[in-house]
Amino acid sequence: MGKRVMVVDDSTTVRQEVVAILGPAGFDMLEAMDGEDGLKRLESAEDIALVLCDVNMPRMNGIEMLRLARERGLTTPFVMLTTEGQPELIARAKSLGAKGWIVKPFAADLLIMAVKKLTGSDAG
Amino acid sequence: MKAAFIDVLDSITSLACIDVFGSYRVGLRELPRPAKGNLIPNLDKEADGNASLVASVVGFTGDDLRGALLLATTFEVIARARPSGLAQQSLSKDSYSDWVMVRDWASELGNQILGRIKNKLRPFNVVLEVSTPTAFSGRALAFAKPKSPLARPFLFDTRGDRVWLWLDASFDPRQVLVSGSEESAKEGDVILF
Repeated sequence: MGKRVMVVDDSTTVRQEVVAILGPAGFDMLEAMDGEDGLKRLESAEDIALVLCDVNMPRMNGIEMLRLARERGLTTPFVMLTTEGQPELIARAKSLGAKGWIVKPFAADLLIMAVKKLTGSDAG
Repeated sequence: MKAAFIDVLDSITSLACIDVFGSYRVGLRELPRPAKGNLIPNLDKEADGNASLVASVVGFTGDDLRGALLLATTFEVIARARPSGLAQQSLSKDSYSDWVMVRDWASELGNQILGRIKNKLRPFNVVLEVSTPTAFSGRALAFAKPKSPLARPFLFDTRGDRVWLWLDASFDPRQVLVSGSEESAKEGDVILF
């Protein structure tokens, strides 16, 4: 079984797209529909190697999810996967300990490369 | 660079729509803008009378610009624009769950178009906060008069299907934008810290 990656996005299609890219590359995929759902899953599953997280989501946005995860002592690496590209937001995510920022739409090969690098995985 | 707000908005909005659909393998050709008196056409009449239509709306707010972006097109266009990894799975208008998927993807496309507009406005120091998108669908969609008299309508063709886009926004059309602020990250960028 490959490293477990959780994708947090309110768009079902985006989640499916990420799963369709990373699943065949050898990763074990988990999905969450917003920051609140993602945080619950992150707290209950200890084996998540990386979180790919949208920023603009209902109920709880991705930056808030990252902030709360760190506040609760969760150190899982985050990569923000979003349409946002504003330098202030990127700096905010970085200051909260995010490991990367990907602007949608993304290329499948670059996503795989980034996830492999950040999970230290040679899966696929 | 100095440019009138209205010219900047027109060019980046049109290009954002073309680029987003293009990144999902759907080529758009911009058609002449709808006449001012026909800003919000009855989509059912403009499209094939039996066309099944889907529309998404994303709101935004900022000091210089606020309003909503509305994207509308047919079921087929949205289904065709799905990500390549999912495109081989054909969608049917007879399936309730497929309609849910099409509305979901229309929402995300609207979100990505507005994301591009937002990122392109950033160097002009125009900063927007974007809400989460919503979508709806039906056979006889028509929209009320836009809130803003400055609403910008755009019309595109793709293989005979229409794509409508409205930027229903309030802004000062006389405002001159000056670029020079820090640029946003670009679509497709992968930044590792």
